[in-house]
Amino acid sequence: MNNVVKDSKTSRKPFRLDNKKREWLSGYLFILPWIIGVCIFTLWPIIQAFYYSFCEAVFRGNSIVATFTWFENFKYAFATDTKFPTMIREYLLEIVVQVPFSLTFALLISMILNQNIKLRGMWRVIYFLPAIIISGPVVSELMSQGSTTISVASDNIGSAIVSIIPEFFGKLITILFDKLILVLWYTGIPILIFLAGLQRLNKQIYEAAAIDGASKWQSFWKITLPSMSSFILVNAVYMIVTLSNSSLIQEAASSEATSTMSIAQYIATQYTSATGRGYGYACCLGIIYLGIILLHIGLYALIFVPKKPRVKKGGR
Amino acid sequence: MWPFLIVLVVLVLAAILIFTPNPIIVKLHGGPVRINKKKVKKVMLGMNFTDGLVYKLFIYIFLVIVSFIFLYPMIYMLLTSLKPQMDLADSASGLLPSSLYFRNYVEAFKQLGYLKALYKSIIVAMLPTLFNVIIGCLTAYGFARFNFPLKKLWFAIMIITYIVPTALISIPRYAWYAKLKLLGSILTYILPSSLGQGLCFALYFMILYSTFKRLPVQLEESARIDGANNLQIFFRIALPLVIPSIITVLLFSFVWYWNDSETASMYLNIVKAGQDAPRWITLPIALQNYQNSLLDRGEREIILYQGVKMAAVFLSILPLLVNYFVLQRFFVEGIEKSGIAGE
Repeated sequence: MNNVVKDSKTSRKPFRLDNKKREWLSGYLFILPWIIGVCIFTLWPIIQAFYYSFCEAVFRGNSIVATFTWFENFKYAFATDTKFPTMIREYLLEIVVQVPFSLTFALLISMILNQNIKLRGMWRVIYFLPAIIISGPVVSELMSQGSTTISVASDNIGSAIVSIIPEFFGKLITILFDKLILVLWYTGIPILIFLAGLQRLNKQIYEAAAIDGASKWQSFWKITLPSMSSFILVNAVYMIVTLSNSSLIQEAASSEATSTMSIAQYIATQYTSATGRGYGYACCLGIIYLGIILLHIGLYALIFVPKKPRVKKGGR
Repeated sequence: MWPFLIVLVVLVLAAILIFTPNPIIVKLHGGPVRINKKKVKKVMLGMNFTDGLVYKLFIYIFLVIVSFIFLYPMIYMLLTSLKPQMDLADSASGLLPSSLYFRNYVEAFKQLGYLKALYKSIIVAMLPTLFNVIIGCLTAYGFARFNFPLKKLWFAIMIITYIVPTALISIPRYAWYAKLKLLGSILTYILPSSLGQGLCFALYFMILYSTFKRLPVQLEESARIDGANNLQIFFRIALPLVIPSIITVLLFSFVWYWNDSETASMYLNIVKAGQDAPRWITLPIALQNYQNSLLDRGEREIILYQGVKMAAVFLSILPLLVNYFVLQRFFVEGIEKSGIAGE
C-alpha cells in the first residue's frame, strides 16, 4: 500500500483516475483473504464435484481414480438406487410444509412481541434459547426419548381428523406435528430478524391507513406483509439452508420410510464407507441436492424479491 | 387445563355482555347490584380491541403455551437427569422424579471425560471463531466501503457459499484432507476459517457488512483529510464503532462451532497415524461416543442409563447455557440491531 501512496504523491496530474484505481486496489486488498479462500475452499470444490459427478471415481490409496462415464451416475441415482429417490421425496414433502409453517409462526410471534407486551425481554430470551443449544447429539437424544414430538396419529381426535381429510393432506399434517417442536426450535433467528424488520416500520403509515378506514386485517395484508417481503425472503433462505444442512429433521422423517439416514449422511457414506458407490456417485448426489435447494430458494425469490415501485403516470 | 378454562369463562362473560340489555342487575345477598354494561365492555374489549382484557388474555396464554413447547424438551431433560434408576425402570412413574438423585451427574461427568473434553471443545470452537471474526471484519469493510470491479459478482458468490449444502462441499475437502494427511488434526478447522470459509461465514459477513454500511462516512472522510490511510481508518475509526456487532459474531460463531458435531465427527473424530486415539474429542463428540457405547448394551441397560445420558446432555450444553444467560443481550440485540436483512 505504501507504493501506491507514494505514486500518487509524485504524480499529481492524473489524480482522479489514480484515486479510483487506488480504491479498487484497497478494496481488493481488504477482501483478498476471502477471495483466495472462496476459490480454494468453495468454488474449486464445486467445479470438481461437478466434474466427478460425471465420473466413476473411487479412492485408491490417497488419490482418486476417475473414468468418465457421462450420465451413468445420474441414471443410477434415479433409476436403480432404491433409497435416494424416496429420501428426496420425503425431504421435499417435509421442507415444503415446514418452511412456510415456520415462517408464519415466526412472523406471528414477532408481531405479538412487537406490541406493548409485558416481559418482552423474557419472551425473547425463551424463544431464542433453543437456537443456542441445538446440536446433533443433543437433539437426537431428546428425539429418541420422544420429547420433541406432539403425536397426532396416536391421539384419538388427531387420528380421526387425519382419517377424514384426503390422504395426502393427512400425511402433510402428520409430518408437521411429528416434528413440530423441532421446527419451532429453529425459528429463534427468524423471529429476531422479523422483529428487527417490524421495528423499522413507520407507525404513521398505519395511522394513515386507519384514518382512511382500513381495518387491522387489511393493514396487515396491505402494509405489513409487503414491507416485510425482503425479511421473509432472508428468513426463507435461512430456514431452507438450515433445515437442509441439519441432518436431524430429515433423520427423523426417513426413519419411518427408509432408514435412519439423512441425505447428507447418505452422501457421506457413499465415499467414507466401504459399501458406498464411491466418490463420483457422492458428488452426483451432492449436485442433485444442490439443484433442489437452489430451485426451492428460487421459488421463494420469485415471490418475495421486493419489486421496484412502479411510478404511475397521470394521477389516481 | 386451567388456561383453557379461563379462556372459556372470559368468552362466556363477553358473550353475556354483548347479548344482554343494559344495565345488568345481579341479585346478591346484599340486594341487587347494577353492572354498567358499557364500562365492563370497555374493560373486556377495550377501545381498540387490542387493549381489551380478552385480547390480552389470549396473547399471554398463547405466549405461555408456546414457551412451554420451546422449553419442554429442556424441562424433560433436567427432570430425567435427576431421576434415580428406580424411577426409570418403572414405566408408570411420571415426569417428576421421586427423589433428587445427583449421582447421575457424577457418572456422566466421568463418562464424558468432562474437563478434558471441555478444554478441547473450547479450543476447537475458539480458534476458528477468532479467524472468522478477523476475516469477517476485513471482508465486510472491503465490501461496505470500497467500489471495485466485479463487486456484484463476488457478492453473489458470497451468497452462494451460504446456500451450497455442506454435504457437497465437504466431499472434495475430505479428499484433500485425506491426501494431505490432515484428517484428525485441528488444521481442518483452521485452514478454511483463516481464509474466510468457516462455518456460516456468510451470515457473519452479512451482520458486519450491514453494520459497517450504516456507519456515517463523514467520520472516515475527515480522518482521511487528516492524513490517515485506509488501514489506519479501518483500525482506529471503523472497528471500534462496530464492537457490539463483533461481539455478536464472536458469540454466534463460538456457539455454532461448539454445536457442530457433524463436521467434528467427520474431520476430527479420526485416529491420526501414529496415535492411538483421536486427539480432538469435543463435548458433542464425547456425548455421541457415549450414546453409541450405550446402544451396544441391552434394552434394559439403555432405559436404566437414561438418567446418566440426560445428565451428559445437560453437561454438554451447560457452558453454552451459562454463556447465553450471562451475555444474552448481545445474542438477541445483536441480531435485532444489525439489520441483517435490511436495505
